[in-house]
Amino acid sequence: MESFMEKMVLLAIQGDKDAFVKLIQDSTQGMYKVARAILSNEEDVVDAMQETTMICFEKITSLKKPQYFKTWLIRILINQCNDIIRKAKREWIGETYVSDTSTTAEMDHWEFVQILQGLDEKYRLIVILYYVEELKVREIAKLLDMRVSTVKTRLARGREELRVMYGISKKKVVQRTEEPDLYSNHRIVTSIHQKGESI
Amino acid sequence: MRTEQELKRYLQNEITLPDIVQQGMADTLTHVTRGSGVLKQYDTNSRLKGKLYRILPTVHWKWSGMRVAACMLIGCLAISSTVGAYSLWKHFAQKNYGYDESQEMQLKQDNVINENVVQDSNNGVLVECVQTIAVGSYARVMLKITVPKDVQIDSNTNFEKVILRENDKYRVQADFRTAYDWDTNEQMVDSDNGVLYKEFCLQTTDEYYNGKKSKRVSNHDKSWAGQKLSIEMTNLSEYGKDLEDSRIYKGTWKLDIKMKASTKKLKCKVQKKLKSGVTISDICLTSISKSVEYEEYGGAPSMDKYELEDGTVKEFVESMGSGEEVDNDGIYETGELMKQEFMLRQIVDIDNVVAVYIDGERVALEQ
Repeated sequence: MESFMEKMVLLAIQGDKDAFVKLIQDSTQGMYKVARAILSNEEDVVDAMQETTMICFEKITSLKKPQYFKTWLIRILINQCNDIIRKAKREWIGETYVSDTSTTAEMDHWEFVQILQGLDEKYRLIVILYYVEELKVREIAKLLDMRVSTVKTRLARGREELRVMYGISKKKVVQRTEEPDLYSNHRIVTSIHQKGESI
Repeated sequence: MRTEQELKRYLQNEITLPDIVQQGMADTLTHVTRGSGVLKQYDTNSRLKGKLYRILPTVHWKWSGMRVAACMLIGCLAISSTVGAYSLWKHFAQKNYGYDESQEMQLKQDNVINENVVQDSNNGVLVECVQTIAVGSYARVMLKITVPKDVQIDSNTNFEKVILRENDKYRVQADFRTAYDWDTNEQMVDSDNGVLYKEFCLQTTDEYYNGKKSKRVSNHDKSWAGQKLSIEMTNLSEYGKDLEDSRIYKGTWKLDIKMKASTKKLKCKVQKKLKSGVTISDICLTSISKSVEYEEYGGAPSMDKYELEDGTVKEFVESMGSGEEVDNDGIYETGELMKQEFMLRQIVDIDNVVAVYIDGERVALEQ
């Protein structure tokens, strides 16, 4: 059974502009968060989002599988973001401004940007694609042209950074206690297959 | 936020988009609805200021007549010979991989770098393997794709299907991507001359994949030396499989490469607990890879630098990694032995490496 989004995609493929506009409006939040994970300022982000929208509008008639619309859209967006970075050769400076008369509505945006800033650049996009866009690890790997294991590693590290930042609890972790330095830097032959083996 | 579920909910919450984003997207969607026109200027720094969009699906807006003429002029002046393009690759390789002319001879003698060109041509498209770099079970392969000059080609151009086989038997996984020059952050593509460089990294494998659900296992002890790598590439296109009419050239290209590889590695047993809390068990470096074994402690160590004999400290530039086993959602027993390994986008002079830096702490390596 087709979902609402797939129906809208089918209509957009057939040339329904209103359906396409609705699709993009529903995707705007996700597009912004993905682009913001890559680009450092709002002008670049909106450039990337606009370019992506126009490319998608031109090419949507070629999309054969409506269920892949979101992945397809994100792929184009990531390519546009990377093009902007290459052309501008800018680095992440994490600038963001909150006016003196900040409202609660603006603070939520500022907090989101702070979360991104706190993450290492390599983990940012993967965390957003996993948690916000709810893509599977394999989909992220294909999208970013990485191995599945690389995505898993970086996702794990991103989670770890977020846990450290926000004190998120973790299951089955033994609390680290201060232990004396038992090991010295010299060659010791041990079996690597037995955990916790003492020297 | 106390749980991962709460984090997920928080990240998924709708946030207030900046005015500039809301206005920009509103303008864009207005143009979609109404048709062509000049995108409104919303910011003086916008690169889209005054840009004209033609919403006519039959016309690719990037290729106006003036740009085509300019590209043809540039194409006439650009270097188009194989020697010239190979020089470009060679320059890229030396800058990117970090070896100079004097080291190149030794690297070739050690079978780290091999430049036996293998090629296949089909439908006017030439695909060449211009270089392989292999140490032990790791290999990096560089392909050069040349298309007729009237064909549009860019960094997104790729084959719809790539099958890699080891010794005509084992199907191998690989990251297949456009090559990057990390110094300039430019992708290795010469659109005007129809030349594109693709690279991929791969490991030897030891499990026969016959179409059933058998698991492929990388075999770190098996060297690429003497192995045959077959690359079968089908249908060159842009933007991938989903867009059928984006196909540029139908066809199949096959390359059979007799691999050579070095076996030189630097392996040290290092039983040391670092200030970050990780206990490092084992470190292994080759010219193109790094790996570290450690006891699980709730984190992930970062081995990001190495030190040479003369005191120079350089960064590792990672390419791909197998990382920790996180199938159980990243939750594993404290003390469990973990292994983290990465291929590198560089060549490390392991003969002169004396130490590495893990989580900011120097760890000396005894050879």
